[in-house]
Amino acid sequence: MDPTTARLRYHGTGGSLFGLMFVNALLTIITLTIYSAWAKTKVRVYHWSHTELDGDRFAYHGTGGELFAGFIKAGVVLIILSFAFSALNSAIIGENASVGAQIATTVGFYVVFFLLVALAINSARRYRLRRTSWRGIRFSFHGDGTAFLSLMIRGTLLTIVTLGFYAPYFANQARAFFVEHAKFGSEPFMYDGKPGPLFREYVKAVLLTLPTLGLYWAWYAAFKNRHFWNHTAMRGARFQSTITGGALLGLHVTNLLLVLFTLGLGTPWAIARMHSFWCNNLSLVGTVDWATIQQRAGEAQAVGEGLADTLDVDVDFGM
Amino acid sequence: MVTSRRWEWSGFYYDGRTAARESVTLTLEGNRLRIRRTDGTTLLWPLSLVRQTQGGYSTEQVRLEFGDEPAEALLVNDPTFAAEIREASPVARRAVRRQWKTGPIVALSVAALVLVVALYVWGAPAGAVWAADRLPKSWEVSMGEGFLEHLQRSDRVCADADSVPELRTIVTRLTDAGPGEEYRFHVIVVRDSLINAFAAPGGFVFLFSGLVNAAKTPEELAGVLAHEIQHVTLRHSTRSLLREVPLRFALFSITGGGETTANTVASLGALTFRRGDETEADREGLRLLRAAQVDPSGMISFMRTLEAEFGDAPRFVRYLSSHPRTVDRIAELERMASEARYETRPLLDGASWERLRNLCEE
Repeated sequence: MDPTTARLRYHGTGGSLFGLMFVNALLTIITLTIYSAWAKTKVRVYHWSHTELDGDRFAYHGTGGELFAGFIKAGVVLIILSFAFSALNSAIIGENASVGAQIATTVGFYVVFFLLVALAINSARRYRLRRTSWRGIRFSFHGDGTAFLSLMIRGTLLTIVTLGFYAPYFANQARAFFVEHAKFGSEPFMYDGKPGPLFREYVKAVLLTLPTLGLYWAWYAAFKNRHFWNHTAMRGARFQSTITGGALLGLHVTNLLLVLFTLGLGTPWAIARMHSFWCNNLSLVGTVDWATIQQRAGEAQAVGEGLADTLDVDVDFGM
Repeated sequence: MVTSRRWEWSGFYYDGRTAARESVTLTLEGNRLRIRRTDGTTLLWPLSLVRQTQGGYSTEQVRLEFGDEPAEALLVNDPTFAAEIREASPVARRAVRRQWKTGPIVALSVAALVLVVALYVWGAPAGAVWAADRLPKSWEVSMGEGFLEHLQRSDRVCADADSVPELRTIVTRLTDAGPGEEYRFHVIVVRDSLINAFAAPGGFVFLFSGLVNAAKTPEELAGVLAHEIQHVTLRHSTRSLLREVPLRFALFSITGGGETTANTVASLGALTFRRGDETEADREGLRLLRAAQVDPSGMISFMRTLEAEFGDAPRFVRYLSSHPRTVDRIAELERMASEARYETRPLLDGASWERLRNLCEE
């Protein structure tokens, strides 16, 4: 069989997204933010149902109720955490605290916070993928929280120690972790990206930062995206990204102007343009016998997602 | 004889077990959807048990699900499907939503946006006036006490008129001549070098020590007090705070209950009076001075001090700002003062006035 190309397409429009986001904003204000969990879910449903792969739309099955329960649990965790630390502060350190002891507790707080964020990223991914489907088959994510935690700790420390030069290795490892633990039904995804090319491009970007006034990082971002996707495969089919630095920079600049000159009202149009851009530049090359891919049953809890949101982490890795 | 059109659509069927896609033909059979598969077999879905999860927008496929998870699914690309099946039977009308096109969505949203803005721009002030007139006095007093507590906490209160006989003399002259016992007035001197004064709801008037010091005569101070007392009596302060309610509410939502942010932003906007309020307080303040037999030229001359101190704002600021131009206010006050001349009585002797002026000096 000849390899075929399955294209991704985004059908969303700024206009209908504007309507959705406007109603969401209104209800979020009226309900004093309680509605935001449902608002978020509605936007996700919209994006997925307007994203097409090989003639079929994706579907998002998460509910606002699940996300809201996640927010509540995350809030409880955060409240307990801050109480514990203020109790620790006054109990152990007391009033005549040395500066060193104060710094130690503050650093301790942020370390625990960082670990929670890492766990939240992992479980948010689990939640989101399990609630996404295509052709009636659910995706899933099986990344272990502690494994991801050790990856994050090691990567962060090494990045700091190497003054940032470990960052491309770290990014490649994180990508590998995300892809290799993801499944479509019974079928696992595979990642064979090596860190070498990413590192060379990273060094190039660092060297060209001053001469290009930092604009070269758009080319690095495009390279990273191509590297990530072109090394992501599933049963003989491989993704192909055609993103270029120039196009990416052009998109960001025009989107920025679009938002600025409409005083923010153009944001939905900018979002729709961004989604179109990502989808138009991505395809799946190869032939897959979809009939052999089986459904897997599985459930995920919404707690991770809520926590990530409360801690204000962007957990969107563009997959 | 009734002729009915036989509806038929094409779609894709997914059995929920594998990712295989199968072209199917759909027909409506009573209250059931008949799905004819490629192998010739058919499935019958009762419409009352079918769930629609996508297809509210004309840019979406219509997605129908049936059965427990993992559910069977039907995806229909045909853009006329939703409208046609809804027309075909009342049960189908309940099962399949109408599809919205982008144009009407944008038109409706823009109309709603305009409505919300209009409601805020005109509705909030009107609502504030309505509510301020009906708010129990005790609520106004507790709003004012909030301001006092805030200043006390930051240790900025220098003196209370009740404990300063010279200031009490001026205040009682005015309040005794005032329109009644509606409010019990608390005049508080705040330690701050700015030339400023403000009126909080419920009878709380705050004078900055900078202003007390900048006044040249007790009559000038009485002019400021009369103006602020009228802001309270006319409920301008209460209205001003109530006008902020929708804004505070929105801020509270956006910041997710970030109390400090909301408080900061709201208190900056709080207690701004509208142009009409200032003119009214000037006019009624002057009337109060007359009733109390206080020389009105003090009020006018202090306004001149203000003009000299701050000057007039540039034109565009003036347009935006809530205060009318100081020169206009002076002209208006002079006109009103010249209309009715009356007998005046002095407020304080020179020594008492000097003591009061330097009340908060260290």
